[in-house]
Amino acid sequence: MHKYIILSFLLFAALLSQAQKKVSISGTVTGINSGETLIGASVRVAGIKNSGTITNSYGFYSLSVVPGEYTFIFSYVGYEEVTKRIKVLRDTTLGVALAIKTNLSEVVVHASTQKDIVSSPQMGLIQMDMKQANMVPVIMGERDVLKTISLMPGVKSAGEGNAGFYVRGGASDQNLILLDGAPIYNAAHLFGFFSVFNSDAIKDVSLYKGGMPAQYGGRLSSVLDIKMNDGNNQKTTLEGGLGLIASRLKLEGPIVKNKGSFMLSGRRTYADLFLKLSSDTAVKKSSLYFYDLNVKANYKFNDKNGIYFSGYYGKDQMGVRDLFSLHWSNVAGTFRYNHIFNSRLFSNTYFIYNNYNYTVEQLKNGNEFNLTSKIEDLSFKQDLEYKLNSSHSFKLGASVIHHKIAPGDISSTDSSSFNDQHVQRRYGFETAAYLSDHWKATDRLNVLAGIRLSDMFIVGPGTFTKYNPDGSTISSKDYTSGQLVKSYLNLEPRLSASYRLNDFSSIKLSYNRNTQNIHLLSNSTSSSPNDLYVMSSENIQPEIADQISTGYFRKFKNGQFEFSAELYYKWLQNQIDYKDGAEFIANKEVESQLTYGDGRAYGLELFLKKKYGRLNGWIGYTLSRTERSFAAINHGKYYPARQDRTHDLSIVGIYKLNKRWSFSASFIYGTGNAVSYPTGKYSIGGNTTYSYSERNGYRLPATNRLDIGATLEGKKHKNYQTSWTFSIYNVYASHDPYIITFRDSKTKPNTTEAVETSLFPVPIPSITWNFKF
Amino acid sequence: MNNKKTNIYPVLILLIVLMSGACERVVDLNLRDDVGKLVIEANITNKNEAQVIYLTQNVSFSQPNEYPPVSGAEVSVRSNNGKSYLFKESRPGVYTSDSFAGIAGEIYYLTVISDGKTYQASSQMPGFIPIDSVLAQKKEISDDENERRIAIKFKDPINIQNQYRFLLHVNDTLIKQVYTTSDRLTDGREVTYYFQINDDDIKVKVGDSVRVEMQCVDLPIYTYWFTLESSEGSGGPGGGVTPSNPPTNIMPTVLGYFSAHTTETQNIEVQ
Repeated sequence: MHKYIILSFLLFAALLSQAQKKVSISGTVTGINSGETLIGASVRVAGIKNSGTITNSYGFYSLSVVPGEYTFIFSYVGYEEVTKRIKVLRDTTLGVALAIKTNLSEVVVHASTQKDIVSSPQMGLIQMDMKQANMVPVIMGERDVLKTISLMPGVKSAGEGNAGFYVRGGASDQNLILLDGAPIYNAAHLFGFFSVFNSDAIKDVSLYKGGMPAQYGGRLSSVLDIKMNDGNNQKTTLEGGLGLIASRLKLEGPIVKNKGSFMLSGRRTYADLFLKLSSDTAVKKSSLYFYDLNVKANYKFNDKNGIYFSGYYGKDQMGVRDLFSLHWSNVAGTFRYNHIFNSRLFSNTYFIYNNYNYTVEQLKNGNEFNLTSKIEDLSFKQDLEYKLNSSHSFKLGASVIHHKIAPGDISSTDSSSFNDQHVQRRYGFETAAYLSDHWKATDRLNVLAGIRLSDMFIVGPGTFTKYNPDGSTISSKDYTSGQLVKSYLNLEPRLSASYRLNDFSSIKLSYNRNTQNIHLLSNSTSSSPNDLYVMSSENIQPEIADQISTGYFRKFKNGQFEFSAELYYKWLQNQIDYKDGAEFIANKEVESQLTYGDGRAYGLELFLKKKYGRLNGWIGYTLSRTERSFAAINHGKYYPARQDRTHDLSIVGIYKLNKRWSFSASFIYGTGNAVSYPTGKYSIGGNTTYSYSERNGYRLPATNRLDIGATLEGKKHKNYQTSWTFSIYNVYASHDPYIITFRDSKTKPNTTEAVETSLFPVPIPSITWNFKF
Repeated sequence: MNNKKTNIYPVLILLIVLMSGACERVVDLNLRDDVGKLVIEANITNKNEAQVIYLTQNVSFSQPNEYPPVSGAEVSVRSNNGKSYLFKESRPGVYTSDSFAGIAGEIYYLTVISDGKTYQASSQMPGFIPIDSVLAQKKEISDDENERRIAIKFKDPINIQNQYRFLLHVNDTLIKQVYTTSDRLTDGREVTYYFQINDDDIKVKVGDSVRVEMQCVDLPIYTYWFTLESSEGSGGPGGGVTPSNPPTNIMPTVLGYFSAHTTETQNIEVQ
């Protein structure tokens, strides 16, 4: 293993010494009006083929050239192109600010934006265009990046009213969700009817489904990298929206003009205010709301040094007075120090804190208790980007995350049925180091080769028990604070390559291995707020995924259209399931109730996108299979996972009628979830009981739904702007099945019946009023 | 303890109903049949009476709830202190012993020979724990002043692992649900267990008669009932656990169980 590391560094050093006599030009690309850095803006040199690059996640670019005079062209979707002619004789800094196109209803034409799908070696990447995403109609008018992401091929929503998503056959806890670098454990509000990401505060969303770059790790199936707005460093603005169930407000502005800015964004639902109007006492006495707060501030000392702070706090509260309450919250804070050593070396240093916690309170007489659970991380991360020459750009870095998990503590009263209970905390260090090289091998061949070394250390204090597969104890040992219990070292190779066939098409290939040491235990078929997080241990091995994929990428009409076809195959090891009768809440011996198996997933994803124009949008189609195998289930044979969806189709269209009116529509069709239905019935204890033959041998009916939306921009005023958004969810009242249950018939005695429940079988209209000062 | 889990869901359901007017409809499904399988329901209790063991077969989902009896089997039970009890077929599929009372701490071994196959199981009768009381409390959330929630109280013995199963009858009709609890989190406490009735059409009101049976069961039988209980009803978001046959203690695997348990029943008139 160590050989590999040494080899990698030798290679790196060799490349460094080879550096040609070139100079570099670098800088930050921003928007003129807002001062926001532009991610994925294109920078190229006029007259030199394939000389271009794009800005990184922080709006920074760096180009190597032989000393001389050049014309540089800067462009970005929806912005005016800027051309600069300068002499570059030594390493030079050039910052550029682009202006927004004033008349967007015209057909925007530009050379290339974001990562060019043809020349970039990256595959399996979805980059959301937030402008486009914000036009997609959603339930209750609450724009939601997670909902929109699930309209992309290879991504499946966990079901109606669920913010969870599955990527290429992975489970919902196998997605690494990062908000400005801080992991978010539970991205769901209100049991998943909404996500924790308030669109107002979000600048950029990228989802990696495959070919994960080496700087990301820790989860098996995807990386959802979300960047928050930096805040306008030119002028102070206030904007917001009043909706049916939630309102939003965002304030942003300069701290010191051109040097620093802040952004404050909040959102709160008020469904509970409507509860008070209800005549039903049960409803009246309930509380039901969530809120979020996003904060960001940055300050640039000079061209080379800047500090950034991002914070998020979100909380859900629901309960019935005198009976019970449940609340959960996510906290995340990132402090980032950005330093540009020189035009070739770009550095980011992160300190990150995040936690997820929930509390369940039972208030019923004689059953009083309070259960709390928490997972808390403290991380340090150092990322470096080094541009060696025009053919080699390196990324390297290291990180360490300290995990602390409090699985569950119960406190109760004297008269309660419950004992006070304390389940031991668990501690671990998740460390990683990575190195990757973006190598422009030839004019046609682009390679992104990387390696990630991850090492998980589980440490004391605590009593650690090893279990047999049947759940009986093998041994139990006490560890002192900081004493090593177990460590897992994993080497994760990552490779993607693209070969350009011509100016508008390419083929790509990728392989990646990912490992995961934080696992979510859930004893229901979808996630719920009181699911339990556990670390790898003596019993739980790190989950491992290997994925290969290949694809064909093509641009049409100067990049106005993009088409891609990707094939993938994924192997999953050490997947976790629970045994019959498992109880996870405040259970010291939870690891005795687990069973381990394998998985596999494969599929074909087709994607056609029209990026701009009066009518834009996309069509995505996925043909796929997702299977699991556990010794104790189905006699060890592979069976379809619940989220296995043979066909999945989504169509999104956005049409700008004129300066004031835009319309949008989205249509989805998908094969129903794999479920277990009875193959017989019998009587036990006087109850009708159902017998089952195989796991997930049936399908729920296929789902399909059409949502539409419209936006009306108010008349332009000097000092303010307003707009209305309207949407109708489930226009043609499709009965999408949420669940099918079996029961004794109420109408025909002595028989049984199957009952289908649909959550939103009727069209749901919504209206939101937005304003901006 | 599963109180804790299930109690989250009424609010969720409330939310769904509020937001959408979620709807239910009866659907026709084309289900495969895997029927004619042996079902053994065997109980030994601490009451001095004829103990009864039922042998039936499962039927197709679309058939009426009538289960064909399995006749002509040889059924016997012996205990670890050497006593054995013969069960005679008193009615088709119903096998009855002479009166005897199971004894706490004894392990009972069941043998069923049916259709040339031998099935075996064992179960240890736990110690007897008495019911303290059955309560009817005013339901916090109800439009009806007279609606009540039923609870049972008992004292869990400390430092012994105990598992319980309850049966609830309202006006002599069995509530068709499985109720279980264990002392994993309530060891040694004065325990109040609330009955939650999933069927909205059944309301317990002042004047009703309620009968509660408490059984102390061993761990494998608790796991059997608890698994059954977990897969019951809607089970919350996403449909609860994936349903499967609960783990039986009978070898080779058949549908059903063999349980040696204590039992006590208390009746109240709801006030």
